[in-house]
Amino acid sequence: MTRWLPRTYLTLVYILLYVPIVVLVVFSFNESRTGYAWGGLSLRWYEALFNNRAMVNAMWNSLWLALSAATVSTVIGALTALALHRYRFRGKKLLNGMLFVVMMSPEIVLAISLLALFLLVGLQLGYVSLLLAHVTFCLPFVVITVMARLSGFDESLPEAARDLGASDFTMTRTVLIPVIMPALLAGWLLGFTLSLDDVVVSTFVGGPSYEILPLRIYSMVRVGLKPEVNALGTLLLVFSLVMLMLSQWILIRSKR
Amino acid sequence: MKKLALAGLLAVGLTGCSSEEPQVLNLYNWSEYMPQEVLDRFTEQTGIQVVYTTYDSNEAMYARLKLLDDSAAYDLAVPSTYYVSKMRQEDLLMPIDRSKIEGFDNLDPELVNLDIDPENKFSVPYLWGTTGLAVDTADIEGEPVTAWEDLWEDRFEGRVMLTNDMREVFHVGLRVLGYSGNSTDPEEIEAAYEKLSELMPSVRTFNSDAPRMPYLEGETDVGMIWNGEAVMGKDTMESLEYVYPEEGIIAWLDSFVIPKNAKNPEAAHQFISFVLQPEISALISEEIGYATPNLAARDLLPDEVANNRASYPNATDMINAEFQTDIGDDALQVYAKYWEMLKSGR
Amino acid sequence: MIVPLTLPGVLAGVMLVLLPAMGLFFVPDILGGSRNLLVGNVIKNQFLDARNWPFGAAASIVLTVTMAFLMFAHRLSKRRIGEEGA
Repeated sequence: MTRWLPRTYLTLVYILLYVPIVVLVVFSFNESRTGYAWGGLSLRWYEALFNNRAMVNAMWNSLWLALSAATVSTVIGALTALALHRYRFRGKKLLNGMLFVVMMSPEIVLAISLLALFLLVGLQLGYVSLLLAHVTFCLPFVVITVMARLSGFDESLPEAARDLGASDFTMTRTVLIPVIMPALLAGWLLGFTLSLDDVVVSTFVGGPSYEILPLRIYSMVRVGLKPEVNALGTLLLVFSLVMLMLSQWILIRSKR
Repeated sequence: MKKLALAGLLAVGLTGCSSEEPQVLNLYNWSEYMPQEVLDRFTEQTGIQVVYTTYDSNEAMYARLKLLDDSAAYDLAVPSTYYVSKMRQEDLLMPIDRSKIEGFDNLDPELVNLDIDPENKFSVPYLWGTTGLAVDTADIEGEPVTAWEDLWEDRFEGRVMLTNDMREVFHVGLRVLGYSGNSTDPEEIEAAYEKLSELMPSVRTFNSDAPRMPYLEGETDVGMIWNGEAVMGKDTMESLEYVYPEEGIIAWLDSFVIPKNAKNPEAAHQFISFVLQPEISALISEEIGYATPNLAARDLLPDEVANNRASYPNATDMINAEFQTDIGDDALQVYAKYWEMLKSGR
Repeated sequence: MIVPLTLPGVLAGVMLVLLPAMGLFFVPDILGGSRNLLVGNVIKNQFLDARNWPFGAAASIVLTVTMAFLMFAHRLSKRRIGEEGA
């Protein structure tokens, strides 16, 4: 009887979530420049996008930054998670708590603290400062993902491996890494996406020598909506969908 | 494992830094204040890549320059009059080597050797312009808008746009009350704040990135605009008029300056000379609608640009006009305080 | 029955949205026509426009403490709800 109520509600929620995206995608193929009038199908904005050197540059910069930030934070994060999981040491609770502080503190506060720090040590704002900042805010997410995986990890497995004569290295390679692989991938992807669309932190710690995509888009959108941005948004959407499917596929495969 | 991670980190760090071979000029400028064509031609001629970064207020530019002082991120910036003198006095600028600048003599004698920078040791004028009233005549019925004061009328509720510029907005408030737009008197500034806060319910948006856009998008119909933006806007929307208000327009001059720690001052000098070429200056004025101080360039302008009152005001338009001047840090603090109060709206 | 049991989750959801939203200065800049200031805008302006670092830093601290307090309250309420539910 009352089933229409939840249904309408859900429909509304989905409309709210997806209509803006659909609008963006549709208008990226719009021929006309101004306003939201339909002027026919066209790929001219994609062409304009790829002819815009500054934009393409920013795109590569962003990709490279996200790749490196995700990789570095995955390596450090995985090691941290292992240490926290396996060993008991002084300051373990503190370390654990501090990771949460980084994760929960408002991004803008983190950004300002990092900026002040970089200026204090005289680091030039650019790729290196961006990388350090991005690693900082990606790190806790990787640690938590890997820790969650490790908490369900059967401790007798590495012991069994050792009993069978495996060295530490062999054990890590054949037992530990395969077990935490999905978490590593998930953490890496998380870091990659976080880094790719960060505006707040990058506004503060970025410099003109290394312009990244979100900041470029931000300054473009401030000068009025440009159809190129729609095209770019569509490309990013497709890109993230592909990444998502890839990660799902890896996850499913690894479970078999 | 740890060594491996370290090696990876190093590799990532190293390859990330090694991409700066071609010469680069870091130009820090207002949004949409230089046609792309000029940058392309400069690169074509000199081989120097231009990285164009933008700001939307003198304050933001100044703060960023101060912030990046040591890391010398920008080679060229374009502050307005009053910030030229402020930055010069604070020793933030590098003297400009006139022997490396060609075409300086083309500049309007009335716009060089001003108080802000005697003998132009630190600055070279780029463009000058005015801030006046924008009116979308298609959407405004009733009496024509002729004065800043008219913005306060009830009929414009929710349709007004102001620039996102502290000095300019207060300039309007001060002029409406009959004070100087460069007032340093705290009482006058407070009175201007009171007056402006009466306007706030009418204000739909603040915009200094592209002040023409809210008019073009139909969001606002009346308010402040820069003359160049009005000229560019009229290309798309015929009904957008630039009006010289009775209380007088705000006039300003933007100049090239080289930050003290610029990495590539050589390229900065080259760029200034490049822009001072009459045909380049003319191209800029034609494309973005502001007035060039380059007299040789003005002779090259097509008639419809040279006679466009919005770009090049005549003597009657300049009645009551006031050039922005440096008002000093103390007064600036007072402005900043009321500006914040005005924008937070309570 | 349902409300008390899902309350911790609801609260966690609220926190997850609230925490980042407080710092996002660019959303009001683009969508709000710079008319509405959020804490994030105030902090950003103090650092990047007005150059009043002490004030900006104070605002950041207030924001951080508010967050910490909210998280603490959330923990506390979670524990209490947990007890009642049991």
